[in-house]
Amino acid sequence: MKKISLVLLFMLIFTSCYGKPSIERTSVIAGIGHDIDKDKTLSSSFEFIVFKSQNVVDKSVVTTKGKSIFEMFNKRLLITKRRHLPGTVRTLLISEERGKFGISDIIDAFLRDQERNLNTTVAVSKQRTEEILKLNAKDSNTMAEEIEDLIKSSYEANFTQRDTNIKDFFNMYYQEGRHIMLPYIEKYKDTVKLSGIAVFKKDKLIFTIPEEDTKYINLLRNEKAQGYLTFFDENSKSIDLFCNSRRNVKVDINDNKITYNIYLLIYSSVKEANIDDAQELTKDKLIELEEKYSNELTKQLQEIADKYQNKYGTDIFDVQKYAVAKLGRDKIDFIEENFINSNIKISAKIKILSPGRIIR
Amino acid sequence: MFKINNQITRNQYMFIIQNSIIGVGILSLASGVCKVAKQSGWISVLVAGIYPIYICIVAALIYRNTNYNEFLETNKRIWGKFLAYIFTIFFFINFIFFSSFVLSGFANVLVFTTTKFLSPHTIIVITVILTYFTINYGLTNIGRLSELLFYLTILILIIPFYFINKGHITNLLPLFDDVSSIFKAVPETFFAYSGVEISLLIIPYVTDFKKVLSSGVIGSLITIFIYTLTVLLTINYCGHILTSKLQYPLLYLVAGADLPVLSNFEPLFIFLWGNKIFQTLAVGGYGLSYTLSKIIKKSYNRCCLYSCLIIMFVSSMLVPEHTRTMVIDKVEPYLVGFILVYSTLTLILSYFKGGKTFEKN
Amino acid sequence: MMEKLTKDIFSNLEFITSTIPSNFNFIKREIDLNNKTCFVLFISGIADKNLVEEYILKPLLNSNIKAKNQDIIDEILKKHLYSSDVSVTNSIPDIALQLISGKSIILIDNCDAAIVCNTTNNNYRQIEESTSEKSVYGIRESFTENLELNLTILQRKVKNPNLKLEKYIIGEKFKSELVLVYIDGVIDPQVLTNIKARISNLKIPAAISSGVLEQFLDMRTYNIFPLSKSTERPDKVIFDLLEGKAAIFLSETPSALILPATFFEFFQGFEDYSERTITANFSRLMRFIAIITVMVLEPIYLVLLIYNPELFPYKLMSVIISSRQNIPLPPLLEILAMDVAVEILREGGLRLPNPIGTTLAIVGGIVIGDAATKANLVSPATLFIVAITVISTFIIPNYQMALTIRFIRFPMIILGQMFGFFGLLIGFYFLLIHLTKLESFGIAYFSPIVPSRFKDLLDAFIRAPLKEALKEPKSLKPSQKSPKN
Repeated sequence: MKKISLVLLFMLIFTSCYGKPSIERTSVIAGIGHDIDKDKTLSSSFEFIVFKSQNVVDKSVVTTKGKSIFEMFNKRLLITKRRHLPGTVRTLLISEERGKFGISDIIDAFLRDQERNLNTTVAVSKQRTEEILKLNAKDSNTMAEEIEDLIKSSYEANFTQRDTNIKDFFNMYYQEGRHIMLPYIEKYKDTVKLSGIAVFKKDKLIFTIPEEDTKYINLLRNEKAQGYLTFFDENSKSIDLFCNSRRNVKVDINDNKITYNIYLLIYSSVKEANIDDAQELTKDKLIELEEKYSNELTKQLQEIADKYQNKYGTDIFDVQKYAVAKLGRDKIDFIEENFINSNIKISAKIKILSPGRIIR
Repeated sequence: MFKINNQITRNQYMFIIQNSIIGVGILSLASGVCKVAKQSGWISVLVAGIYPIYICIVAALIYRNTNYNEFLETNKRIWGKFLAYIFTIFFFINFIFFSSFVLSGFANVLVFTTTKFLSPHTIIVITVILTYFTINYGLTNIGRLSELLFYLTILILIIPFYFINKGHITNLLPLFDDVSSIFKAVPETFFAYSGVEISLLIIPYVTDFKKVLSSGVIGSLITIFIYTLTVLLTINYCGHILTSKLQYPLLYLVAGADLPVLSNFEPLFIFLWGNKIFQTLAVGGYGLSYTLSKIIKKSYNRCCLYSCLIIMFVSSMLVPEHTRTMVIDKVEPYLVGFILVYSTLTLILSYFKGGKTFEKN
Repeated sequence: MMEKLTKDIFSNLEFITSTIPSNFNFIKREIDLNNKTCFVLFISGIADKNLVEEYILKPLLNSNIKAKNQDIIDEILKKHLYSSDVSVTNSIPDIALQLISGKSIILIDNCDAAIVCNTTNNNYRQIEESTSEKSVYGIRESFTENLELNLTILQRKVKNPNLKLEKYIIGEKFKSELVLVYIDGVIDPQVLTNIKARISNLKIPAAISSGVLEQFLDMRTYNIFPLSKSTERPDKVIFDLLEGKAAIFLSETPSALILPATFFEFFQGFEDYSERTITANFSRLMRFIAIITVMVLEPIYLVLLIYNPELFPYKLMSVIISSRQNIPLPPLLEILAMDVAVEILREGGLRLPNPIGTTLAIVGGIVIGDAATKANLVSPATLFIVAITVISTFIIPNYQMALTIRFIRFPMIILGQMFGFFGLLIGFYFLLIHLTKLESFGIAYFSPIVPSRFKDLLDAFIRAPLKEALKEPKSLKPSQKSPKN
């Protein structure tokens, strides 16, 4: 008994009130946006949920300016009325201008601060993030949640990348031979839409891939993805395939010339076939179509790959890591420098698994 | 007031060995080895696993040659009275360092993650009280707890397994970039693998001596497997640059698991892992009290109190994580080196001086 | 103080009277046996008057006794007494003990011995169905306050010549009969020795109930876990006897104590063995989930609220924060207040007559919960958590263990309030230390997990097919070393 009371005494001595505000005085941060102003002052916007009373929820956006991330944080605490939890952020939004300025401070802050969540979605916006976060959310409480849902639901089509979490973002930044590539969103009427990919080199945004190429770049870049492919025949009639793609990369080195072989295996099912020769999709017919469209797709992809390789000289296909794995970690500079001179060979193979409900 | 019972079964010996090795090291191990050996860090961990296996084998052989007398008796027979005391004092110091490193590391991790509001000193004091309760009942209770907590180890592994196909194989390739760096990274693992020295003390208390050697080796192998696997999975997911930048790569991995129910599995992991830490501490505390009671010739229970106070005091000085890391980097190679030399020499001498039966008191 | 009877009947009578309180119902009936003074002593009420008249007075008064002196006892025993249970004694303390347990004493002039004749009143409660341990299947009998009847029920069901019944007399202030029952050859000798030693060394003022006896058998005063389980149902006793345990029956108590007990068997419902394997496993799983819920759900909820709100999933967090707006009480008080209210209701329900009690518990729970949320004193989320916890407590089959588990959550809540997750970790580890240290009559309390007996695990968390589950557990046999250990 003596011992027990001694322990209790110890506990009482060593604990006291820790001065933590209770949970009802907490506000949930949904989204953080990072902008830059003309005179190179940073600006950040916080979107958070406002709890008026039981079951009444609203949202609000606060924007502060400053020279560093936590200077802005300090200023924000002068405005807001509640404690903020940084661990809840759903979406981290970076404006295009801020991306061009460099985002190493954002990466460091999010990685270093233990309280930050590692499952935040990251995206780049064309407009100022403040403007986007201040929009009225249609089917969620906050814009940040809407952007997250937008990106998550886009996995279904367009072969959109799945590595949009902040931990994937760190991986893209730190792993050798890789570049940060993030979904690029823009304001569209009174809401937002996904319109491309933002490509970074180190911590700086260098260019964005426009909407029309995004699908093919994604198809080339992602290990596993799904989406729809459309092929037109001479009479501008179309066939639509729902595809699941698998990517396989092989690297060959010949006399300091690196060849990247990208093999795409696409399992697909016919969703719409409004073509003349699709009277009856027999096995022979399907094989014929498979071959025809495989070649067509390979040609199309090769064109795009060559275009971006020659135009920017940056690996947007996420293939350099294979070269690093083959050559060794110390050859990274050589690989980066020689990317523009290396060969990229693409071979896509479409396999049609199912013609759908109607067969003739 | 307390009855001490020191007998343990062969299985419990195995679990004690397994538990005593796993400690704070598992969280930061990947970071240290990746700094030196890059993507091949996990091979260094595998290679360094020779250390615990070696100690277990040597300990079992020494006691086999000398008929399983207690630690001090065996030493007296082999080294003579004076040197035996010197070595006991050395083991005493070794366990002070070991326990304090574990305890301060534990406090640092807790303050770093789930209980930011507590001061590390509070955590140290409370943990020491718990350790006192654990070790006061003798080795049998520690053995039983180890046996129980072994099953928790399996749970600890589940969360890293979530990442098994989330990473990318290119992060691990090429396997052998630089062979010499793999060996250079071995000292980084010393702290993670320390704790196995307890086998030099507790083998005489095992009820069944027949398979002590293989039990020790199996216990070490389980730990080596766990270490290698966690480091491998971490590198596979994060890549070696990020891994070496992180203070606790395994915690980063756990925190990143995107599963329903909880938004972050770190506390759950800390909860399971914390139990293991208490156990590791208990083993260290036992070694400390045991050697202390041999040195100052006081009862074991009293020495438990003294040793807990010592652990509390030393670990309070090691509180900020960078201080602790610095001290570990300085001290650990010497400790490991000394234990290797000591155990090897003792083994050789035990072949000459052992063999005759010696009455066990 | 005289210990033995003398030849003088009046001094004997005086001494016997002086050793037992001379209550009004102590009856000294004087009769004349062939010109010898003879006394029939009994305590009316405990001894059945009809039996005394029928078995002793009637034959004695109608007899014609010829023997002299000491032989007279022999003759009475052999020729005249109708009772089947008779003995002869000359010790006064023994006579006093026999008298207060309902026997009749025949004292004869000039004899330094007395005849003890069993005339105990057997008017006890009838065998009824147990109210505290109901079962869907299984037999309907339950033990009563009559020790002999209880043993009869048991012996009738266990037709095994090795069933041993050993009788002990315990109690310092007043004596009670205690019968130790076990099956010889099944129970481990080491365990049996432990139990017997503990019973012989028992220093107990009075064994009022099996609960009191249980606490005296356990030497650790501050241990909160029951080290033996009490039951009212013979089938449970038989089942445990077959596993190699012993049962203790105490006179005048309607329940049996089964020992030794291990932690996990408190969570095994007896019905588990009558149901099909898969469904039985399902209910066992539910039970373990419920136990964990009772112990940790409220503390975790509290810790998340005060210290780690970021751990709530995003969607849940907004729900919880919005439900907590304008609640004046801090989370700790909120949870404790609800808990205390519920515990009071439960205790109240226990005391009231059965139909009213259940009504009170349910209606009271609903009304108080609803009122508290409407008045903004308690948030609906907290009420939900408390309700889940309370419901989960009812699933634990053993009443003593249910009390213990229910109690554990309060220290856990306090620890959680003080240290957050670290507090829960301390509490959990402390429980583990305590549980692994505990031994129940030489059996590790946490077996079969510690020390591991892998075969026995088939009947711990899961219930393997009966063929495996009903094997005699190895963990109850410490003197048989299994080959693995």
